[in-house]
Amino acid sequence: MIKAIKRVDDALALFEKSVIVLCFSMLVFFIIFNILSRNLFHLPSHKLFEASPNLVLWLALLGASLALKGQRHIRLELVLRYCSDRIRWWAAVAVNLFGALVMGILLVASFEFVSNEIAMFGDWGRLSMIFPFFFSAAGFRYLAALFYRFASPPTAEAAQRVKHAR
Amino acid sequence: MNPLTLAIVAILVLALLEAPLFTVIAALSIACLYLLAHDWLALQTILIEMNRLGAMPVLVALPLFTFVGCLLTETRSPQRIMNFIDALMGWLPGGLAMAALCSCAFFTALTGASGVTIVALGSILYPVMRKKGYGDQFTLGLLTTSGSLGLLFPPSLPVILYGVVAQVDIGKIFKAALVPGLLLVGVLCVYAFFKQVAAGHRRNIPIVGISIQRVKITFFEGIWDWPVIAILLIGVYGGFVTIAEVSAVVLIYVVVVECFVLKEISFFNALPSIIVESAVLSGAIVVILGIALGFTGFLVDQQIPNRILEWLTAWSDSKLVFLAGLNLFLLAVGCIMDIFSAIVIVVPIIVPIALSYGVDPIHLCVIFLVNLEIGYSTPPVGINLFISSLKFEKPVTLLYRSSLPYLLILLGVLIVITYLPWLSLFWV
Repeated sequence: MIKAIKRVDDALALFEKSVIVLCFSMLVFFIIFNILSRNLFHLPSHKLFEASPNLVLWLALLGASLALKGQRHIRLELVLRYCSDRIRWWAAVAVNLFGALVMGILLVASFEFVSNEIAMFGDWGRLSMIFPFFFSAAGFRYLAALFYRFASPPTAEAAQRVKHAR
Repeated sequence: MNPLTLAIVAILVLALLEAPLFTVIAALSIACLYLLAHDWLALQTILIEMNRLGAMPVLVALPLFTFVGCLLTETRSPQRIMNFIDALMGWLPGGLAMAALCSCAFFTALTGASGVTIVALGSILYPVMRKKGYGDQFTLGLLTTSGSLGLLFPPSLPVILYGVVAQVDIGKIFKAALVPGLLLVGVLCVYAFFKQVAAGHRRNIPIVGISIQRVKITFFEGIWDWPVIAILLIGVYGGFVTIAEVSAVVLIYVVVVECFVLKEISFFNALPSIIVESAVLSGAIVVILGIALGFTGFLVDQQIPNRILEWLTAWSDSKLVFLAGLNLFLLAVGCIMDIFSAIVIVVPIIVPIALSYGVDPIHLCVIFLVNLEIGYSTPPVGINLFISSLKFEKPVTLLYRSSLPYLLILLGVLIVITYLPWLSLFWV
């Protein structure tokens, strides 16, 4: 079970990394094209430049999803550093359950949002598909982290094993 | 206790259990929007506000500058710049400390994350400074506090994020922040100078002259690095191009130089992983910004800033007292919160209140960032103290003592910056 989850997690990460590299390259190309066309050829290229922030949104959400995999999100690291391994283990379980619940709620809300966007803006509205993708990937990552936790008892050795598994 | 209060308390407990901040803010938004309106559709506000990020052109600079910072971290560029500043200033008493301060400021401006500066430059600077006879406490304090010193210089990501959140011209913020930023670095350099002059007298250390030959060699070693600084300065202060365009030009230059001229980075093998790394770093910031937009919109709808303002003005309507209170509050925020989260969460609440006290929005930004910069190293929980403790394997209490003189100096500069607004605004 854990191996299967890990395989899905890794495949998802590979897909996200590929899209990130693609989006980033397109973003740089769009901006450079905009500068050149405006300054050298005196051509307006507003459409391309307007698409850039949307690419940033895609990049950011894909990056944020990957940050969950590496447990690299910004947190308030005030209390747990003074707690035992056992308390940290239970805290991680609570946080992962909480995260999965929040992402689940936003996933359901995002389906409605995407259908509204498509109804209003046609094919351009499909750009907002990144929202359900992000919330489902993030929800999956929280649940996967929960499974990884339950596969290991709350000891220092187990913490090491979880680290290696990731 | 009503359900909303109960939910908020539970979510705050989970925040203390180190739930990622974007999840905490998302949960707060869900709780506030749903439990007040009892309408599922109210949650659409969160997504509408997140989607608004897709219409903010200035946001483009964030991932691009993050990429430049990540890429330069992988090269010998920081070492070359450090060598040049050392050749230029290292012969002075405290010269190496001054070079360390300037290098850390430059590197922090590029990376935006002070932890990275301590980890990356600390490992180079700590042994060198100790070997050259600098005291342990002096060195530790210097490296800990200088880890956040460059946050006011271009292309600092916190400045860009502040501009996005507060809807203030980013070019103007960079201009306003230049003199206070230089003042912070300058005052610490003066402290290092006098401290080492005193130490030199005690130990009879002779003062040697500058080596022009070494300055020339180190300058030419870093010949490909200087245009990055030139492009940034001309782009940001010249006003010819937008911040997003400057970031793209710097990025292209750095990629071409590092991959094809200096060949320190492999275009096909290393570059994709640096792109992913920068997306992860900027993603962790932007996702908080996106989700917090919905939450701060809710706070504004509920007139929370107005209520705080009413409470504050009932207590005191003096601008000077307000600024003193603001400094104390922001130092505490900087101590417990990451700078990016602090900007996203605190700025929308603070800005309307400060404006009603007659504080200039650009001056407010400078005050805000200087406070957070200092908060990073403020005991007992400033994050720089813990990063240094881990990096240099020293007890955190030693770092409290080591950082104290630097903190007192920085607090003095903070008071000057706060109460002399023309220092920031004279050329904006």
